[in-house]
Amino acid sequence: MSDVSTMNPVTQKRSPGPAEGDDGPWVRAGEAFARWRDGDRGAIDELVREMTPVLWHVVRAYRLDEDVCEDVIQYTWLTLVRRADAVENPRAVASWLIITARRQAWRVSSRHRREDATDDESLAPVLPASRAAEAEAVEADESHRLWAAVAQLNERCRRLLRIIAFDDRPDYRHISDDLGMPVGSIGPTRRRCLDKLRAVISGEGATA
Amino acid sequence: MSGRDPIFDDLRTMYEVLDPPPEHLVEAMIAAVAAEYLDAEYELLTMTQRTTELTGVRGAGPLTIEFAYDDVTVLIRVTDGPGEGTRRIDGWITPVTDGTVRVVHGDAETTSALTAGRFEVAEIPVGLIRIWFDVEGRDDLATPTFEI
Repeated sequence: MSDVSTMNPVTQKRSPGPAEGDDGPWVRAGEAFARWRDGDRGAIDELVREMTPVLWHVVRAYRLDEDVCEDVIQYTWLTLVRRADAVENPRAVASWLIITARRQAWRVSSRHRREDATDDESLAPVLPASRAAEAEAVEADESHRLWAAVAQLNERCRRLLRIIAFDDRPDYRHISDDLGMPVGSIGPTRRRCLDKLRAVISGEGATA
Repeated sequence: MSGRDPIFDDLRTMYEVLDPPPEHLVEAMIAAVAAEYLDAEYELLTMTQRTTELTGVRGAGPLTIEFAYDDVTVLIRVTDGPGEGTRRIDGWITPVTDGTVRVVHGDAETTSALTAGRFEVAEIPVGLIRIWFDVEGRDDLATPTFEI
């Protein structure tokens, strides 16, 4: 028997292999935040990179203009760094960020419900010229079809589906507060929205 | 995640392709976090509205931006400044109060008096700014970083 074998404690730590499934970004965000709180100043940049795109989609679900969305996201980040101790469980920082951003988006959107707010139906999706690769073109084509289907849903459905699409661990209690819906109705509403979306996609709900 | 309908992955891809975040967003957020004064005690104002009167051309016409916190509202009007690449700022804060306003731009800052709820900065370079309010009778207030 050699002592050398004990120098490679493979079981001590979980494999740092590629992140799998939906847990990847959430776990990475939690780890980055924990390191930042422990004094690794650069770790906050990783967290910002990981979560800012997610926050964008969550906030955009409230039909806010680009500038206002950006401000809501900045508010969320500044609130995090100023009140870092308020995050009880660093591993849950992704959820904390999403809830904070959603609440702020809700606050801002109800303060200024403008007639000319971004309208999902009329928001013509424009593809950047650089995305010319064929695979991306196919993906974009499918996305355009889905976009047209989603546009036929009511606003509540669109918001709920976009929020859930980007929230790997949706918290119905908080969503109910932010959407002004009873918590018990979120599950059924989600189901109805998906049924309607499928019907539209399969042609049943289409008028043409 | 178990129990999650795969259509959510399609929706996610759709939004990522058709309504992606602005390209500068991540770097802007990193900069905002890096510039935060962690020791400062203040309340953060929230942008509630931003309008350019000449649509689509940023900085080409008067820009009005509104911020709020609690019962406080700050309205800022941005117009072209006297010099090339500069702006003029006129601001109003309610409830009406007196104090001092600091406009931080890059490493520099410009101070202005807040009199009866009104302040002005005659000339400031275009770019990202942040405004701090030291007002009588309440905690300091600050806007987030925003572009003029």
